[in-house]
Amino acid sequence: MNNVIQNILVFSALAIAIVFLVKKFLWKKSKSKKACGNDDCGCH
Amino acid sequence: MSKQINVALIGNPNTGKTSVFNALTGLNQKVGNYPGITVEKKEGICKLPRGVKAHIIDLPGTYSLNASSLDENVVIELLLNKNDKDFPDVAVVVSDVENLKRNLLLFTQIKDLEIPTILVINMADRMEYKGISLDIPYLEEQLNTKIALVSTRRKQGINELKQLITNFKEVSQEPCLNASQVDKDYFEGLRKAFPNQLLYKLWLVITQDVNFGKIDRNEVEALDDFKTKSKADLKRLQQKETIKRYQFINNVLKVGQTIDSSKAKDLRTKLDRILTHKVWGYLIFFMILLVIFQAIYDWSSVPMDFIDSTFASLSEWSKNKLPAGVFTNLLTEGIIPGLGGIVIFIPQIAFLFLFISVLEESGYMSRVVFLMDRIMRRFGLSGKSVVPLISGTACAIPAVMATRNIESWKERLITILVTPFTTCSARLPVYLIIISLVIPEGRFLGLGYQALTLMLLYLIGFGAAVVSAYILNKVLKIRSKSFFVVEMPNYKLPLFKNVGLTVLEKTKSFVFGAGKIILAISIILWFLASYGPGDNFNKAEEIITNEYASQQLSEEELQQHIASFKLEHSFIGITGRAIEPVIRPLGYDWKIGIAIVSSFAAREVFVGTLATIYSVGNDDEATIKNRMAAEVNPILGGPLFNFASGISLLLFYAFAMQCMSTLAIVKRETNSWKWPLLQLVFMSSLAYIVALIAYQFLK
Repeated sequence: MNNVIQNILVFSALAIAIVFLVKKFLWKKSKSKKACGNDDCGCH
Repeated sequence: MSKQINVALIGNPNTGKTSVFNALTGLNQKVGNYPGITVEKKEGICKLPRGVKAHIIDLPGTYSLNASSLDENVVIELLLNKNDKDFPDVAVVVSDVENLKRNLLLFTQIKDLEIPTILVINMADRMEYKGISLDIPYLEEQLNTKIALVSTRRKQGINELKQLITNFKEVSQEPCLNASQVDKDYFEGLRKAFPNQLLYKLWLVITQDVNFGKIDRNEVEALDDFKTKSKADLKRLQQKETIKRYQFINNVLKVGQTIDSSKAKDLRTKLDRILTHKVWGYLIFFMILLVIFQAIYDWSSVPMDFIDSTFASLSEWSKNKLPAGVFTNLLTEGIIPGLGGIVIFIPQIAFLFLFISVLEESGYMSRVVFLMDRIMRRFGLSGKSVVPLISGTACAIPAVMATRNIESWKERLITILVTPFTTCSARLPVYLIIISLVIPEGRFLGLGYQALTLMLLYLIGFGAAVVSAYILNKVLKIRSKSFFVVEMPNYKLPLFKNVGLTVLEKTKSFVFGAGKIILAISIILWFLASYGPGDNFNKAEEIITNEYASQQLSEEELQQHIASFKLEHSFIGITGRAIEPVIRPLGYDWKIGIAIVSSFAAREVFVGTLATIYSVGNDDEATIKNRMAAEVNPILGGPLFNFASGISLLLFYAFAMQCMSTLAIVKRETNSWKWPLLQLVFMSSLAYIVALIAYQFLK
């Protein structure tokens, strides 16, 4: 039982880590269509 | 009944205008408000020679007649409205002897309104300290005015000023600059449409957002035979006018004002003379760098040792207290050592930013920018490139963004491309751990070899940036103009609060920004190092036990062999083996290869990766440094991290573009993938070649 829980925890941590890195480096938020210089244009 | 004349006292803020007002009026003054607004109105009476009285208005400080605030509107409204009861018979423009150039802009504008204008050059007592000398007759002739050299502090020149005000009718009303020079056709049209109005007055009415006195801008715009320009065109003409005025002022001051800084006597000038000296300036800067790097090592060794042993104990304690299993292994061999690998560098990073912040706060950093501009110019960079290059010691990302104030596209592009060579804080953990492993702890002239090596690496980074800039300047065929303006702040004692906040913010962003990435990568690396495909990994115990059956190995030795065999056949081991042929000529093994590949996300991941890899299967309580020091070169024998491989690794990280975030920001700033890809290929190739030469030469 202990082994099962520990395995679940390990694979959950692994999934969270992968999702975090993918979101951080590969999946980018779409930029605002406002011109640069406006507030919240996504450029600052 | 004695005669009374209206005098308007006008000037830039902080020119000592109110001191002149007080000196002229004494106690004969009153303070009120301008009608309908809350702008303070100060007026007073001054007794002049020959029984003449002057009604003096101290107008709000303004930089020019291009109004941008309510205070400034008050000045223009009065000067444009001849029907105002306070309209001046004479304008007295107060300037500061140290900022004459900037102050004269307003003077020339008022002169062009054809009001008799007297120029007061205030704070004359500072001339001796600043090494300033003025040719007053020349200035009077060129500026078409009368000048009073005043020092309100020493009560000098006030009587002369009173005399000039009394004789204001002798002051020329001729303008300094003919405004129609800016756009002859446009001004000719204006002159024809309003033949009875003063041209510069009309120009001010058109270009300001308010109506003045009896001249209504709608009246100008409604005329059929005169077409005014769009707002953007008018703005451009205004800029052209300002440039023309400064050109005129520069030409006048070139002859009329001499600043000999060698004669200046004030403390700031004395310090500037030493700190920006072409020999002493660089020497002092170099000495300051030496002290900083030595202090980083000496002051942080105790807290670093404490953090290192704490994380090692925490890992050991967790292993003993938590139930055995894979998640416990992940915690004790992956997460805790990975985080320890970053927390350990907090003291050194905090000390580095403490010094940088003190240098910035004290005003010394601006002198460094000025000093380095002399060098920068020779390499095709702007003086402003120094700011990104210096802030690049923290992180290349804000540094690349800081290039936005460089006007010339070519200089900006070159600065963006070379900034990642500067030693950023992410390189620091890599440098510190490798230096501590391969550079001895001895001292030379009181300076540690390790501190000297660290400083050398900073200089190498800066040197690589400058040399690359020189090459790019020759190679890139982009035409552009450049100029350099920097304001030198006064020297001051750094505020403890500001310094503390900077250190806290920089350290926090390093730990939390990098920490999350390191934690995620540590988990993935641990997984890749703890799991593997095929029989070699799954039956490692059986294979090793059979292989060493004939030898008398202790249980501990046998476990070490099993762990090593499993690691070699894990996912990470297989990957490392695949890239090993490429990195072997640099003196690295597959474990270092894994650390290099994983640190492409962020350089600081390198140490965390090694800490994770070396922790896997290691039960004993040991620090990261000890584990790395114990690693053996599988081919040559001896320590893996020796002088040759260590220097090779240091140089590799000095030149390699190991940062995905920097590439992303370069793409955004240049709006093209061409430049970041070029940067990646150039820097990585250079790093590989230099590291290869270093290892082959030193091994």
